[in-house]
Amino acid sequence: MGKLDKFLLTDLFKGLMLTLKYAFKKPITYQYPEVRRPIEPRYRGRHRLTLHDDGSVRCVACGLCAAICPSQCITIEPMEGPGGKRMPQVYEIEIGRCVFCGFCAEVCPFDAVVLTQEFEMATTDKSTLLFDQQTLREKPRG
Amino acid sequence: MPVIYIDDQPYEVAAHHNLLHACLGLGFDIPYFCWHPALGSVGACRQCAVKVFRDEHDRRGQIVMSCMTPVRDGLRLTIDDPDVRRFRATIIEWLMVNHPHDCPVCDEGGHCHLQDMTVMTGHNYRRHRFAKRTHRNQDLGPHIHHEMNRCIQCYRCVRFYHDYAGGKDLNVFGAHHHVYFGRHESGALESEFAGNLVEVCPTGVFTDKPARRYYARKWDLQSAPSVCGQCGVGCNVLFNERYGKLVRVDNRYHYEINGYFLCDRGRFGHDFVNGEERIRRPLARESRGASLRETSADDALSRATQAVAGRRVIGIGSPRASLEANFALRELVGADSFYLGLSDAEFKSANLSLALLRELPTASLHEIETADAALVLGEDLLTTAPRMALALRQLARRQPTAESIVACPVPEWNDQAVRELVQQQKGSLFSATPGPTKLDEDAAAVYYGELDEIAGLGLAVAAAVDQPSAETDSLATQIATALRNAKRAVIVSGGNEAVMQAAAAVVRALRRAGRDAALCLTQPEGDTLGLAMLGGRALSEVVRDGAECVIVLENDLFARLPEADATAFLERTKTLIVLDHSITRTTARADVVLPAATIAESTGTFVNYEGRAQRCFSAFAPQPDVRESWRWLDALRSSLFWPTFDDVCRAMAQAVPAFAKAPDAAPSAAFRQIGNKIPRQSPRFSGRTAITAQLNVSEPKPPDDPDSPLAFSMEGSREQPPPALIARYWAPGWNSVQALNKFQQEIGGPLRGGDPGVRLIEPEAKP
Ligand code: SF4
Ligand code: SF4
Ligand code: FES
Repeated sequence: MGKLDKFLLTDLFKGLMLTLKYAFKKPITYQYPEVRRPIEPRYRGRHRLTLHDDGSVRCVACGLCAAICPSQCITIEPMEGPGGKRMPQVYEIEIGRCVFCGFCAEVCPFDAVVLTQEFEMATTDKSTLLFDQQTLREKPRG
Repeated sequence: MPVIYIDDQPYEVAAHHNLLHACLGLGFDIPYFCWHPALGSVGACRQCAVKVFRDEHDRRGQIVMSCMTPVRDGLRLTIDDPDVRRFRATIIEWLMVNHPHDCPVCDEGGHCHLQDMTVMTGHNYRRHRFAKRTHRNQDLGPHIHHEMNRCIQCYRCVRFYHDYAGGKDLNVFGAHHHVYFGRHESGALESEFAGNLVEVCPTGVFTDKPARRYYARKWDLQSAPSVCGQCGVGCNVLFNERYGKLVRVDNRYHYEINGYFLCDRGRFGHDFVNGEERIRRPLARESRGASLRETSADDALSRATQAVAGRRVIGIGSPRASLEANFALRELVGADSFYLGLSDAEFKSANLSLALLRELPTASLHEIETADAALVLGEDLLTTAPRMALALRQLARRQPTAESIVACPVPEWNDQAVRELVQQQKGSLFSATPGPTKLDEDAAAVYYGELDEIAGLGLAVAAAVDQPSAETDSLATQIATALRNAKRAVIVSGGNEAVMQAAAAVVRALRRAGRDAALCLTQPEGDTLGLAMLGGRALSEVVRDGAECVIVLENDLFARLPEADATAFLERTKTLIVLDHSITRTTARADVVLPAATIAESTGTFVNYEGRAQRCFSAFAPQPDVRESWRWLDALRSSLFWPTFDDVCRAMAQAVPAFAKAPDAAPSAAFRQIGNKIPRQSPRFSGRTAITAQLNVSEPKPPDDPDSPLAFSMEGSREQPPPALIARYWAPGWNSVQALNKFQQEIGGPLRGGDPGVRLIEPEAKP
């Protein structure tokens, strides 16, 4: 940068020009949470356990999702459900550790676990980030 | 050694193998189902196809089954040829036509040979869209779960159960695509070796029923190498844990001992680890007459220390506790006040065994299997040492084979042909027992009589070995002739002193005649022989002497002493301190009970019937108040001497010359592989950060293990560990137990790095 530019504060004015330019443009900030940003169709958010029509979980507790999970945040304890059906007794995701890679949904042979678009899981208490089967069965908010 | 050419590369292989065996041994991956290193080949599954060429100019080749093709010098083949690859993929697809594709709910999933082979051949989409044949499953009893639809008709189950193990109640029924493997009707499997079906069947047809309750995948199990404590054979096992529960017991290959198979007592007999009867908290009572109450470890310890201080204390050891635990007790009470916790008969027989083993050579199970003649004196092996009975059956099957194939040269691995050749011929196995046993049908001649008559027969055989006579009609001379004609003979006995002496006399006679003979003496429990080697006084003396304060180590006196004696003795005792893992009649009378860790939760050394010291490692850390017995006993002393297992083991090796080599049974806790401990968990271990998240979102530190080179973690060395530390069989692409192939020097041979354990007894008479 030349000495002259320094003296004339060229850069400062350049910056001010930019500010001035945007002052007359439409704002791009979303007024979250009043205004919600559209989510891309392939966005990966909180998990959901999908259900059969009769309301039972599709999951057969094979354990593949738990095995593939790179942050090892899924834990499953299987049990024998009605009619000898294998199903999860415990299905928990420690969502605070989840990296939302979607491997679990990818590997599931029954599409029993899917990643929804819900991303609003902020909390002040980390222990609420352990999602149990009941929470995971619920339809996402929004 | 013949040289074969795989893709024009020369490889030296052993002449007596088939091509599949040889190629797998060289590290090549060929998919297979029906072949098993211990069962041989039948060529039933058509999966192991390779292409063989006539000579180096032949480019067309011919597809053959590698498991049915003998190795010969100059053989040229290729494994990775488009034609054979397509052939193998088609075969798998064909097998899968009727397979239910139910891996997600299958208990075999994750350690299934069929899964591995399907992935290996590259068949990954099914085209079959029609109905599948289905079968009805049977209830095969409390141990084995049956799910016939998953069968791929490899015949391994029947070949093991019926042919190898001599079971009568499992067979193959039906024809065409309705072939059915099971019993003629539902009912518990009768064989003592039925549990091996779980590992032998390459699919999920036969699965471990008790383990099913836990639904744990192989990759989720935390495992450690250990030994079975159910009898004196000392088979190697893997204990597998999940969520603090022992989930399943798997075979751990040991070339010299159990090889590929366990008995059901070892596989299913460790359920006490999860049992209702477990003592999980220290117990103490205020005064005689008050009831036992749970208390803290500190309180229990201070009570026990007070009781011990300044009094004459006697200790009663146990053949089911580790050497270290018994040694720790002996150090605490002094050698003079240490009593072996054996009944009178057991005491005599253990001491006699020790004396005989110091004099005469013994044989491992592998040596029994490959011997040429055997005589069983007085023991019903299927109850006292089941795995040894299976080894003897192999001797009886192998020996006529060895003779027949000289006349008609078929390779020994060609199972069907060999059985055709041998028919009902029996090997030189003789059995003399008080009553019928299941081994009788394999024996060339059987004798029933009282124990003294059996001892008499043994002595007559010894005399006949010394003086071979022409008359052959008596049983003794018949046996003596067979034993004399054998290159290697084994005499098996145990239990009764007179019978054991007679067995030893036969071995001595054979050795005098310049024959190679060995003496095998069964031991009732995992550490009976070790206890005898440690040395101590007989339990009957303690009843006479009595004492103010008695410490009983993992033992139930009511099982060792006559009822009246035990009651009278315990009445006279002022303070009774008992260490045990489960409630017994002795713990019920104790003043202080210290909860001991079971074999699955502790590190220790056990000595098997051959005098081989073997190390067991804890598969999981016991609950906080439960400790290994040697830890409790060390804490009872005025100051801690042995903070870690190595300290107590080394102290024992120094104090007892017989155990000088015991620390060599496995690498010490300081052992590291490329700077790392060996992980007890698989790299795929799941839910690590979530399992305890309901208690605390921060993942807890895994328990430390100062006692062994194994870690309670999935982190650590990824290399193949030394043989004594193998915690699971896994190799890339091989998730089932058959990954074992990659751990052996030669398939079906010793483990890489030599089989674990050290023999502690050097016989005077060299083998
Ligand atoms: S992969 Fe699917 S079916 Fe299997 S345990 Fe996970 S969610 Fe359940
Ligand atoms: S049941 Fe198992 S071992 Fe027996 S034939 Fe079928 S797949 Fe093979
Ligand atoms: S392994 Fe060769 S045909 Fe089955």
